[in-house]
Amino acid sequence: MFGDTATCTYLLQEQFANGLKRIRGALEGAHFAVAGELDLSGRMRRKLGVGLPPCLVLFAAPREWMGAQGAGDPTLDLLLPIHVVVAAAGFHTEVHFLRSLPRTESGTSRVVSDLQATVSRAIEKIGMRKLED
Amino acid sequence: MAVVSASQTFLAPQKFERTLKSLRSALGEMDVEVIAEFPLGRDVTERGRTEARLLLVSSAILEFESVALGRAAAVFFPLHVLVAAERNQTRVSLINPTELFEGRLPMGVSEPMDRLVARVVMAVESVAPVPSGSYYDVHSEELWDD
Repeated sequence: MFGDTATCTYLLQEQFANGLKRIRGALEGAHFAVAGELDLSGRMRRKLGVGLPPCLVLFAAPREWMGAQGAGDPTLDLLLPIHVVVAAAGFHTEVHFLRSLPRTESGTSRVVSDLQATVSRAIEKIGMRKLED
Repeated sequence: MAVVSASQTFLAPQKFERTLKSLRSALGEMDVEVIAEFPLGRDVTERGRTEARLLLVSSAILEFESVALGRAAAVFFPLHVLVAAERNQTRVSLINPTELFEGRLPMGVSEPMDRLVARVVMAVESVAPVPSGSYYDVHSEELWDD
């Protein structure tokens, strides 16, 4: 229960708008497409009248998956796209995403694990890992 | 396998488009919104090309409950629901992402996510009443192992 967290967090020394731009660029550089996004803070404001600092969930998937309209593997198609959360944190920007699946799992899990590792490497290039998690 | 235990699959005794329409309606009745969707259409089985749609679904109030203590919880939203044609029937699968990991979850996400999964399962069961693990049971080795 007190072991590693299921998510990991990186910090960008930039405000939200610039941070978001750099994260999109980093994902594109890793051959991922942002297939869509959930504007979580905007949705909270519209639906619930609650004000939150900017927070988006980016739906990131390999360009091949987007181009081919799926992987042809129902389990892999169920696990993609990968969610990358971009949230304002004062004058900085936080990025959250899931840690890799255990690699001892099935072939599909290994594929997803590799994709998550690719996302992780892309974000590592532009942000610092937060140690609190 | 964690992926299998975290996923649930149901079989609807009707064709793809009709199931999709009924499912949208059922999700709406459970206050679950379709946030985004992706048409998928490759060879899912050896029997040929299969029409499929990935729905990303969520609920604003449950998202709020989850992220109130920290934004990391947002990585679990929205929930993925895969709707795939299979001959004259339709297979509907969903996965609870919080069950995929042995690690500690962000504070506050477990209960809202369980409630979202419960709502989605109720909606799915109303259109696809037959629980089915058969697809994964039959195809898991050839699909997943190298």
